[in-house]
Amino acid sequence: MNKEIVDYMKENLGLDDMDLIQELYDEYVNTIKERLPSANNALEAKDFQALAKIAHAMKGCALNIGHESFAVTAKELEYLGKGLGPEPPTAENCSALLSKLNTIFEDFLKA
Amino acid sequence: MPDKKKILVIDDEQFSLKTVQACMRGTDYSLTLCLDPQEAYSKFKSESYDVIITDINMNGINGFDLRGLIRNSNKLIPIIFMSSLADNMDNTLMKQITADRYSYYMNKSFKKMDLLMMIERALEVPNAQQQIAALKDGIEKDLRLAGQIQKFMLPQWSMVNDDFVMSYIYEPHAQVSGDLHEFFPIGAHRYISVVGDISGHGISAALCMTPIQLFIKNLFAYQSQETITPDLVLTQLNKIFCNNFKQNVYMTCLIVLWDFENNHLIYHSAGHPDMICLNFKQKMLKQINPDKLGSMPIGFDPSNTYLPENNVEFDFTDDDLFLAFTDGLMDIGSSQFPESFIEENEIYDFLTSLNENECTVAIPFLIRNFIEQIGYDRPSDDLFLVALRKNTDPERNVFISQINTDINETNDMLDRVHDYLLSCPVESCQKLENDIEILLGEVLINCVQHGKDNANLTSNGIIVKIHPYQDKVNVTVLERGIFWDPNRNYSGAEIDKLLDELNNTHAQHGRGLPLIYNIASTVTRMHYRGLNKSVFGIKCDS
Repeated sequence: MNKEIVDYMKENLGLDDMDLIQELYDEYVNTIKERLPSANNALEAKDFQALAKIAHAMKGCALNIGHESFAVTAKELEYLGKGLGPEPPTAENCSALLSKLNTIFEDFLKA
Repeated sequence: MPDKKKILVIDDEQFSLKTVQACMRGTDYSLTLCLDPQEAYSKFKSESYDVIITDINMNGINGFDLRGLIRNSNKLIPIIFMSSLADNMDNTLMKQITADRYSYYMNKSFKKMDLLMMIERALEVPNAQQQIAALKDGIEKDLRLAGQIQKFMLPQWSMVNDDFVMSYIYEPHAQVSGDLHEFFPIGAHRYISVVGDISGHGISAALCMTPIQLFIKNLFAYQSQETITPDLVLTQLNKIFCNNFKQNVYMTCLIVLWDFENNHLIYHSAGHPDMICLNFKQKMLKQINPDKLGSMPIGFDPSNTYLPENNVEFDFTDDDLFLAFTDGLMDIGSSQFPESFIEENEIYDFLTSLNENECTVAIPFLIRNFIEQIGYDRPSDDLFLVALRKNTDPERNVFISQINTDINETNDMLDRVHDYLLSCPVESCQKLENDIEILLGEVLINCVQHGKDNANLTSNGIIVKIHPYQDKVNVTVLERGIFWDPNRNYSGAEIDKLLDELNNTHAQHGRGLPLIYNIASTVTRMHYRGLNKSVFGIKCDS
């Protein structure tokens, strides 16, 4: 498990049962694993609103568990998809952010 | 162990629900988790919860819509919005959350301690509200009881005897009042009356009113009836008042000694509005106190002696009607024109427009009704208004008598009516004797049985007036049955509806009404601020 996240759960969510921490950790990993392909599908369909919605959901999960870097990028993708970013949403700029999210998540799993 | 507080948590993201659940493990809260806001609303309707925690952005209905549904049935339950929208929270979102007094916000990156503190704080508010509501309920119940006790201590709302006919209307501004009234016989055809108004209104005035009323009752019971004068009564009242109430309270007061044998009265006003005297026949207002005699209110100076030279002496005629009142009568304003208050002239004009045969008993209620009808609908003080007139009805062959709202007394009234009809020299009375007695029997039974208000002394009493004319007789019945709530302002349409319901009830449940309509050629039923007035016209050829 990612030590940073485990510490966050202990400190902020008041969890001290390692089984429970593991359970929540696994749930987070599975949730993001499910959401990232859905986000990719939305991007391929150029459905930026749907993409923003998935990004918003992932951001919420990441915030719950203290996965800060993932939450920040998910928020950028959410804003971009909603048309609130620095530029209008395109397949290219959304794809770049989604790739970044994938990388952050892969790094998270390795840590 | 007290029951665990129940929290309904709604989020369409399973992971968020699990995070809250994990975090709340081991606390004193019982959680119900719900992925679907619609389903959450069904759960809310079927079970009782103490707190709601909900996401804002959800599939289906959002968190604010869910709050709207919940608030339709529960205005107080705390709702905590748990969302990640805070990072782009703008004024609109903040306004949406704070538009509701019992809504709170918690970011999804919450700390357990912060969430627990927020739940505790949120729970305190409705708890405090409930405690305040319970306290308020208790105070209102106590006030209602206090108001009932005060009314119980007042004389009966109407008095009819061989000397005079009197009635009053009493409307506390709150449940209780600082207005008082007493009326005592002090010898043959002699009476003493008191109208008082303690400064302010509400509880403080009421607390002073009750012991003063008791003192007056004792004073009149034990005072030598021969030597009693208004100035002496005021001097004694002033001493008692000053020695017992030292909280900047004072009382205006009007003491009147009535002598109906010699048509003479002596009165003394201690800072109280003067009585109004109207000669009913001449439709003319009479000055009782042209020299503006009077003294300072009670309660200012314990050494003050009220002097006999400030007593007003007045000879009245059989046609004079007297009105005494507290200043609450002139403090009735208008909701439409906030600066406008009822003026004396408006009341005088109304009084002079009254029919000279109008029963004195109805007059306070007619005046109060008139004031409201012309747009003065906002009383700002306790109100008390009494009307009194020498009883000259027997000399005019008019019958007037009163009974309590008690089935055992209806026969007494019918006996009195029977004696009157047989002895009355007006031919119509003898001709219509049977009809009048049958009609009145039914009316009285209806009033008693459907009024069912024996226990309530303040509205107890039925007054019957029989006015014979050459070819007809008018029977007037005045009562304050429970069909009318005197503390409620009825609209014209509501009064019509109530009268219809009342008439239907009588027609269906009593044999009375069809019989009454068969005998009477005209039936008029009216309502004036708690007083029901029914007039039955019976013609000789009917």
